[in-house]
Amino acid sequence: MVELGLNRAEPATLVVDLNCAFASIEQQHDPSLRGRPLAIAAYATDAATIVSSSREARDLGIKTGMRVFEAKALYPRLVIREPNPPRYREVSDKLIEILQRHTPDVLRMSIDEASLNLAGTPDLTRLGPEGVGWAIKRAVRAEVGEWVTCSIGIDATARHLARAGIRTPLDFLYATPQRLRLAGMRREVAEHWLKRLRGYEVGSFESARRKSYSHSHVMARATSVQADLEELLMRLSEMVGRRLRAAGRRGSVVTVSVVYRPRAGHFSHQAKQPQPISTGEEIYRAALELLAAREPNREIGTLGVGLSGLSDAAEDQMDLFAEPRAPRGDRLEKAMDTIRDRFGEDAVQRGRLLGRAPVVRDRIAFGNTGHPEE
Amino acid sequence: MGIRSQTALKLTCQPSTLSSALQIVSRAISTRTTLPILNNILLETTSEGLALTATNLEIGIRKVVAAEVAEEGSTTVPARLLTDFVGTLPEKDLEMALDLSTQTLSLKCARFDTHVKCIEAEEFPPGPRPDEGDRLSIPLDELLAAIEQTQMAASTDEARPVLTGVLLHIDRDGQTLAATDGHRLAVRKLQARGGSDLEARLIVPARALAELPRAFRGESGEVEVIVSKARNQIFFRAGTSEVTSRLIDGTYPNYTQVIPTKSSTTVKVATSELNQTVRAVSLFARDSANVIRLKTETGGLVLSATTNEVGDSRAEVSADVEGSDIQIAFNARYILDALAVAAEDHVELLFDGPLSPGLIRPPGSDQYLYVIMPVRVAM
Repeated sequence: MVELGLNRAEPATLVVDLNCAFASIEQQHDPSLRGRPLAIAAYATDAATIVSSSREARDLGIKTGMRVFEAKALYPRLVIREPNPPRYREVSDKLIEILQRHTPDVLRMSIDEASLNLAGTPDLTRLGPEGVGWAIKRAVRAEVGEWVTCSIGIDATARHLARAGIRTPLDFLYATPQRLRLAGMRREVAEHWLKRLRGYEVGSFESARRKSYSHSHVMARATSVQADLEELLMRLSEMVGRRLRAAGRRGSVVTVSVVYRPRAGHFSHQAKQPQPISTGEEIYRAALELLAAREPNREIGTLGVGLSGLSDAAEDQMDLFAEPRAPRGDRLEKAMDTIRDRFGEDAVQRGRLLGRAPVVRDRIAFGNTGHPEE
Repeated sequence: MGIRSQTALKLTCQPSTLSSALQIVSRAISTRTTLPILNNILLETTSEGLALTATNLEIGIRKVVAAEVAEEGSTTVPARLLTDFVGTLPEKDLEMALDLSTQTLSLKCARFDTHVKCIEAEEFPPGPRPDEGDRLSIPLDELLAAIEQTQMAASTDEARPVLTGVLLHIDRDGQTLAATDGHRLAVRKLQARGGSDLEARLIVPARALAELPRAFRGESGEVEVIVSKARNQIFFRAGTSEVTSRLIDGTYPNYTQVIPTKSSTTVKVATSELNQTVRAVSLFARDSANVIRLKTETGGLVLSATTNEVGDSRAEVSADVEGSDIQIAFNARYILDALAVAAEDHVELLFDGPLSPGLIRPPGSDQYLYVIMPVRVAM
């Protein structure tokens, strides 16, 4: 046999993925949904996109990324639910806690996916990687619920690899870096993979720290009415501020992005603030100025607010020429945070937004862990 | 700039003096310029010798080196090449001669016979001439000391262009230099020398002022300062050396209003001991925003810094403390910048609570004031 220079040590890295995560968490929560085709969609409207579907729905060909009306065409009695992020975060946290029983090296890859490095842990010797996998599965069943299951294994890039003609592990092993680039890998990534395939662990288990916070909203009906846009901007700014404060951070670069609809087009403007900010009020004021750059007669379909240039809130270098920061604003938003933590997002509202439907919801973007501190 | 005749330049000079002048003048050459001629140094014969001029259109530097001029003339030579080449030459007479028809400068020195392709002097942008404008005279030592004590406080953030300059504030009472990046402020009064009728608030790029100590090395006496009538150029001349700069357009913040006028705590401390202590302790602040904490204790000042996962450090400095006790935190770099240019053995630190600006100054004097905004931390 050809000498491939393999790492013959036992594999020590596991990737754990919750199956049909959002859908099965909902089924766990509400037993009446179990065994029924269920889809979690961004909104409970026909145009909304499905973000997760249950095993039963998948068997009918209903997949993530489909529109609700497409799914209903396949199965009219499909149950549609809107996402419930706090519920998913709770399960995600539980999963991480279970994984951490086996190693301190746990990397949360997204809200329903994590990897763990067992190298050098007692459990690797005691149970072996497969044994640890079974232990995790048992713990998830016992502590998260019988309806929530997870898959444990390696790799999520099979589809991309197939594009480059790599269909078997051996194809992958013998692939040249050039071929891997056809699969959409950058050179460094390709080289890392070729090493990993030979059994060497590369890449760090430390996740990069988040560099920006943003929220955007696709409106059901496009609008160019300033008052409507201001309300949405205020809501988005508050949500950015809330996550920022939860992470104990501040930011100095405010970005507003706009997608026009139906006449397509977009713009994105940003402005550096003289000092880092963290309250919704401050973000809103900066964003409002940026929004003034929009074309006033064009209807806007999507509006987004982001904050980057992040620093830790503790590093509060004061400014000689700025007006002293009014601690009142900080205190007010802190109090609002506390109330919302306890009674929910709609428990307290700015007067201006009172009585308005909570159009912008908390949601978890793909590839995002859904956790403010990351 | 002087006579630009069509006669061939011909002269003899010493490589070492030429080399040091070239190095100084080259500081005005921009590393990325869109105008190729700005990569060149203008050579012109004058009655005092050979004048070298370089500019990036924002800052211009001109030096004159002693030379025996046989034929007057001018040309421009690639700055980098000439500077590097002359720097390697032995200390023997260097003969320069320009072949007008080919614009080739021949350099003969000891064993070397070298020819450099030049560009006509006419291509070189004519710098602003200081023949007209408001004038003012400042002792050279005094100006250089004041620049040293202020320019480091200027901002490097181009987002606030005004703060990348140093304010030269001239009024009947005298002249003051002030620089700030928004977090700290350095203010230096120049020794008054008779009144001037000129009143102006000129914002000089800190980068330009930083060139003055080098450009005026070896000169003495007075610096002649000329401000163009349009108030967009400033011109400094000491002996035969000149620095010109564009002025920054804008309104400088009212710096006088942020200088503390009262204090509840006064700490007098030896400059070098404080400097050395801040330097050591701040190593433990490197990864935590460079924040160092100061606390008064009987008979001294306690400095401390902590970075999780790195460690912490604490040190006492003996000091005379008057007034109420205080705990305050600063960016250590701002303190070190002030101590590095403090002229006296002792400095006075004045505080008025943990969230008000601190003041560093020579004991009992307001000739030099350095104001630092604290960092808000949980004590």
